[in-house]
Formats: sequence, structure tokens, C-alpha cells
Amino acid sequence: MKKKLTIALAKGFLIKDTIELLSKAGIQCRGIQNDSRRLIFDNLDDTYNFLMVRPTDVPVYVAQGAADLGIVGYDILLESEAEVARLLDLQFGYCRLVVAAPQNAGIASVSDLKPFSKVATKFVNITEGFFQGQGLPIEIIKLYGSIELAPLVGLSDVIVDLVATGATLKENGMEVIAEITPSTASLIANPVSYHLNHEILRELTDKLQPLLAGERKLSAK
Amino acid sequence: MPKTNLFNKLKSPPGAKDLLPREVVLRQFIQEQLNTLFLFWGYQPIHTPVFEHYDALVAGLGEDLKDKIFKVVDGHGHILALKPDMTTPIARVAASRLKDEPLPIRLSYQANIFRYDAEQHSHKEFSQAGVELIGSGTSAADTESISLAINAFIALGLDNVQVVMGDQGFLNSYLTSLKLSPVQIQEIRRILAKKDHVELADYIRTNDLNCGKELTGLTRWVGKDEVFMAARKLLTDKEALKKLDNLESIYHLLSALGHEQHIRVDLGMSEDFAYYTGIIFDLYLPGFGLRVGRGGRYDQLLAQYDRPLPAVGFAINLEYVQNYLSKEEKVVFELPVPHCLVVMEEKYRAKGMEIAQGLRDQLNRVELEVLERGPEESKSYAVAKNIPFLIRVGKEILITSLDGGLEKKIPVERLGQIIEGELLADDEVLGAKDSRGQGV
Repeated sequence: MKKKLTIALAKGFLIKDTIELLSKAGIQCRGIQNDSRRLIFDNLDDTYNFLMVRPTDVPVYVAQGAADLGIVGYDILLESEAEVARLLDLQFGYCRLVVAAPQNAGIASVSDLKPFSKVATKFVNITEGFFQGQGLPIEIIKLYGSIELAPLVGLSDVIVDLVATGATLKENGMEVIAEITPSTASLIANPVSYHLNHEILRELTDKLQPLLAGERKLSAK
Repeated sequence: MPKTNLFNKLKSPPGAKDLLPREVVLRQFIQEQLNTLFLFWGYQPIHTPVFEHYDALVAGLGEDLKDKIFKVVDGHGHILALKPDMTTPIARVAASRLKDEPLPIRLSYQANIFRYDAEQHSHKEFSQAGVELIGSGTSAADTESISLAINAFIALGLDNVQVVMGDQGFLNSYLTSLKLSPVQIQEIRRILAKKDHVELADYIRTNDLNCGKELTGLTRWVGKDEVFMAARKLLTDKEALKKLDNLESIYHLLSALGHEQHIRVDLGMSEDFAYYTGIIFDLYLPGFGLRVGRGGRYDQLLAQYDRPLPAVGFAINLEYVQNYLSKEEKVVFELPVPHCLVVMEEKYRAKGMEIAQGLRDQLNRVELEVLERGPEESKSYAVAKNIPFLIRVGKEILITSLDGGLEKKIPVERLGQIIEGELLADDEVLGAKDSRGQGV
């Protein structure tokens, strides 16, 4: 009898593509609706349990073993610093983590930033890591949403945020001055499951690999 | 205001945990099982202090642990550390007080260690049990270490333990043979330690490495002994092959010992820092999401204390194991509640205490009533605490079985037997009224 695996799925904008990809791989999720209050689902073959979870919580469920696998954006994964295995880049949900500044602030690149400039962001760890790598001390202002607002009201000089099309930034009179990393949906695994369910996971990644949409987009380094 | 003060007095620092009797008893059971087992394998217990000099500790530790050390400053301004593991203190002792001991030295320990827990954002006190085998660089020593780790879990009733084995020496030789620079090797080891297959693929691409297949192989050589054959197809380097053969022979020896169901291989297994030099192994329990133990060979550590000697060992996280045991209800143990409560009338206090001591000498657990309350209240207390018998000492001695028995008058010499479970004969069902001085 095949063991039933639990996958934590990130609620929100990744769900549609996630379900589509799983479906192409022969895993038909039963009854998942993004706005439903139900949080646990299974698939037609009864081989998987699905947990609908807040994106920031996916790495936690997987690291602690409450889920064997997870599908979540790399930005969230990187920020969480969770001890999980990253098996695949699922090549959807493409965004970029960037440093952005107001258009007429005279900040065209990171080198234009003065030491101890204020950076507003949701991604504290990633921001700290990035600026440390740049050798620039900064002050981080942790926010939870609508980060683009911060420089407009003088709360910060620049922001570190996730950008998809760049429309929101543009609308708020901001522009990208540096790219930190691209981010796509990733398939992650709990380290214990990684070993104890290795054959099943290998089967799954082998099934998914040929179904992936396109080239892995690397950052411009 | 007063409410806040009270809360502060009752609070413990983050990461500091009290263990109540039920938990302590389970902890003691675990410790006793492990101590006995370790002794059977020739390991003798060692204890080292909680405090170490930060400088002395850091000499031996890997990069990973340095940041996680709980530092304190003593009265003289010296920086001390609360020990983050037992391996480095043991290395220090092996290089000093044990330097004239015949080799190999086998030491075991149970200790509380202190580390920074990133998730809790604070330092945490952990309880660990483990062993170190110092002075032997052989694969026989490696095999012993893994075998002992497996037996440790079996001794605790956890025969589903899984050991995943790798070899840092093999990995280093293999990566070197691929003509990678030291910087590249370090990066790749870091990525492998994170088990980030995507970042590995990225690294191969951005650095335009032509050994992509060989590197990706490391993420595929995970499983049982089929891994060895698969790896050999891509291995040409003599050093790496030798180490792979060594690992395979350890695997087969462990299988021959009956441990096949417990062992797995992961040739891409890596430590992010240079602590381990040879075999490394992680310990897991199915259904538990976190690693419950880790071990490996660390041949460079004792050299840091001026006594170059090879060594191998492992440590088990007792918090996690205890957690698992209580959840899975794999161990049935008795919380040692008293066998009886002795209630004495004022005039018969001396007699009561004498009777209590007599029962204790017969290895019964006896509690004395020390509150001034009525017999019904004493009875409620005993029932609430799961104490099976109540003994009333007055002119007569009366015993009640608290799972619904009647009060019975009993000669003192029979008390012990009754508590140990001997049933009373039917003709002894009497009320206090009927008793007539039957030996007291």
C-alpha cells in the first residue's frame, strides 16, 4: 500500500497554476476552492492530502514535518530560512525580489544609497543579507503590506519588495534600482520525508519535470 | 500593576523548560536504558561543567555552531560559554586529564547543552545523550558507532529508527577529482547541505561547469544499497572509489548484523562546515519531522587541543525522543505514586510512623497524612492522587482499598502483603464495630 503524502499549498495567486500542474501530473485535487473555508483536501486516487495554508506558513509546516511537501514561492522560502530540501523550480508564479526607489529621488542604483538609509520591507532576512553582501549598513523598517507606500510618505528611502509586472511600482512613481533574486514557485520537502519517502518523491519530481513550462530564469549576476 | 509582577515571577526565560514528575520519570527511564546499553558496549560516563572558556570552545567548533553559542561574561570580564555540545569539552578532557589513558577511549554522556534556536529566537536548553570513541580511525569504529546508535533506539522501544549515512571524506575526494576549485567545492558543499537541488543546478549553469552530470548525481544517489552501483558508473577517481568502497562495506556489515531495515545512504549528504571528516549519519524517526540525532567521524578536532587523534561518535536529542515516546505511547511506564496513605490519630502518631517505616523497609512507597483533615477528606486526596490504599492507625489498624473496597481491620504484619496485592479472605470483611483486638 502506497503511503499517503501531505502537501502544503500556498493560498492565493499560486493556487490556480499549482492545481493545473498537479492535474497534468495526474494528481486531481478534489474540491479545492480558493475561497472555501475548508483547509484539508485529498486527491481522487487518495494518495495525497492537501493543506491550504498561508504562503508564509508553508515552509513552517514542511520544516516541522506537518507536511511532507510544500509548494511556495522562492521569496517566501528564502525569507523563512527554513530547513527544508528544495527539489524543483516549478517555473510558474514568476516574480522578482527587487530594491525599488522613488523615480525622482536621485537614486539610480544601490551605490547611490547613503549608509543607514531606511529600507522598508516584508523581507527582513533577505534585505539584511543583500545589503550585507553590498557592504552597506542600512536601517530596516518591517512592514506587512503595501510596501510601496513607505517612501512616498517619507517612512523609508527605498523598499525591497516582490515585483511581478512592475505595474504597481510604476503606478506609485517608483522604479527598480537593483534585482536581488528571481522567485518562482518551488517544490520543497521535509528532510525526514526526503529520505524516508525518497522513492515516492523521486517519482513525483520525475513526473513533474517534463511538464514544466519553460526555462529556469536565472538572475542577471 | 501587581498582576504584571506576579506574571514575571512565575515566568521562565524562553528556552528554559521545567519538567514535572511524569516527564522526569520518563526522562529517567530513557537515561537508564541508554546508560546501561552504553556500558555494555564499553563506554564509560563522563561529566563536564556547564561553563567553558569561549576561546577554548571555539578552537574546535565548526562555523555553524560558533554563532549559536550562549555567551556570558564572568566576574573577571572573561567570556565564558554555556556548552553547545559535548564533543568539544570531551576533546578538551581527552587531551588533558585522560592523556595517559590507553587507547581507544570510549566515553558516554547525558548532558544539557545550550544553543540558539532560530525559530524561537532565543537560546534553548537541550538534553543530549551520546558517545565518543577516541583513538581509532578504522571503519570498524565507524560501524560500531552506527550500530550502537541503532541499538540505542531499539533499547528505547523505537525499532523504527532510520539512519541515513554519507561520507564527508568521499564527498571531498569526489569534488576535488572533478577539478573544482576550493571555493567552488565549499559553495557546492554549502548548497548540498541545504539540499537545494535548484540552487545546485543554477550554480552549475552560472559557473558553466562541465561536471554537471557528476554533481547532479549526488542528489540522486539517495536510497538503499543500489546507490553504490549507480555512483560507481560515474566514479573514476581512485581516492573517491576507495572511500565509497569503505562506506559500502560498512553498509554491508550493518546489514549482516540485521540492521538492513534501519539504514539508508545519501552520497550527497554534507555538512556546511569542516567539522566532520569521514562518515556522517543522521538519525530519524518516521512520523517525526525533525532530526533526532546526528553522528560522524571528526578526525581533526582533537588536534585543535594538541592531541591529534581520530574520533567518531553521535548525539541523540533527548527532548525529541521523549516527545516522540510520550506521543506515540510506545513506552508504558509507571509514575511512581505512593502505594498507601497512612492517616494517624494524634495519640498513635509514633505507632503510625513506625508502621509506615516498616512498610517502606518492605519496599513500599508510603505517604503520611500531614494535614489536619477528616478521614473523608484524606480519602478524597488519596483517590485524586491514585493512591490505592488508605491505612488508618488508631487503637486498631484499618486498611481500605480505594478502588471501592470496604474498610477492613488487619493485623500489622499482613499490611505489606495486602499492599502488594494479596487478596483478603472473605471472612475478613468486617466493620470497625466487630473488631476484637486481633493483634496490633
